[in-house]
Amino acid sequence: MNNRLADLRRMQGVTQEELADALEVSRQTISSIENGRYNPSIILAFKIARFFGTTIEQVFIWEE
Amino acid sequence: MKKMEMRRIGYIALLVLGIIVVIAGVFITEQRWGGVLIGVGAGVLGMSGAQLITQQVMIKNPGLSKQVATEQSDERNIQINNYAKGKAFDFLQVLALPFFLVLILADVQLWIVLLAIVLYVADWVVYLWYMNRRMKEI
Repeated sequence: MNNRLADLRRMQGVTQEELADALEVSRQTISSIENGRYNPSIILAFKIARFFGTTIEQVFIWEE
Repeated sequence: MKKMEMRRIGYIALLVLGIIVVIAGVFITEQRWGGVLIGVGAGVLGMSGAQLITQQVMIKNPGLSKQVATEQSDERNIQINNYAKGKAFDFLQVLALPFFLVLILADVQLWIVLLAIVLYVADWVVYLWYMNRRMKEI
C-alpha cells in the first residue's frame, strides 16, 4: 500500500524519531511504513492520521 | 514502581536460592545429584543475577528503559517475532520425523523415543489449542 507519510512528516518538519516517540513505536517502524515495506495496523494508521490532523485516506492510498 | 520492587525482591530471593542450591550441590557426595544441583543452581543464579543487573541499568537510565519498552510493544517487532516463531515451528516439524527415525536406528531405549514423540504431540496439542482459542476470540 502506498502512503504519503514521508511527505506529511517533512511538510510539518517532524523527524522519524519524533514521530516514532509521539506514536510510541520504533523509528524502524516509521521508516518501514514510509518505504511501503510495512502496512500498519488500523490502530496505528488512526494514530498517524490523528497526529497529522487528517484522515486515514489522506495518508494511505489503497488501489485495487 | 511497586511492581518493579516486587520483581526485584523476587529476583533477590531466586539469587539466594541459586546460591544455596549450588552450595548444596557441592556438599552432596552422590556425584549425579550433586552435578544436577550445581547446574540448576548456577542457572537460577545466572538468570536472577542478569535480571537484577538489567533492572539496575534501567533504573539508572530512564531513556533506555523507555526505548526498551517501546521496542517490546512495537507492533512491527511483535509481528516479526511471531513470524520468526511460526517459521521455527515449521522447521521443527521438518526435523522431527527424521529425528525419530535416527533415534530408532540408533537403537536407543524405547522410553526415549516415546518421550520424544510425546513432546512432538504436545507441541501440536498446544498449537491446536491456541488456534482454537484465538478463532473463538477474533
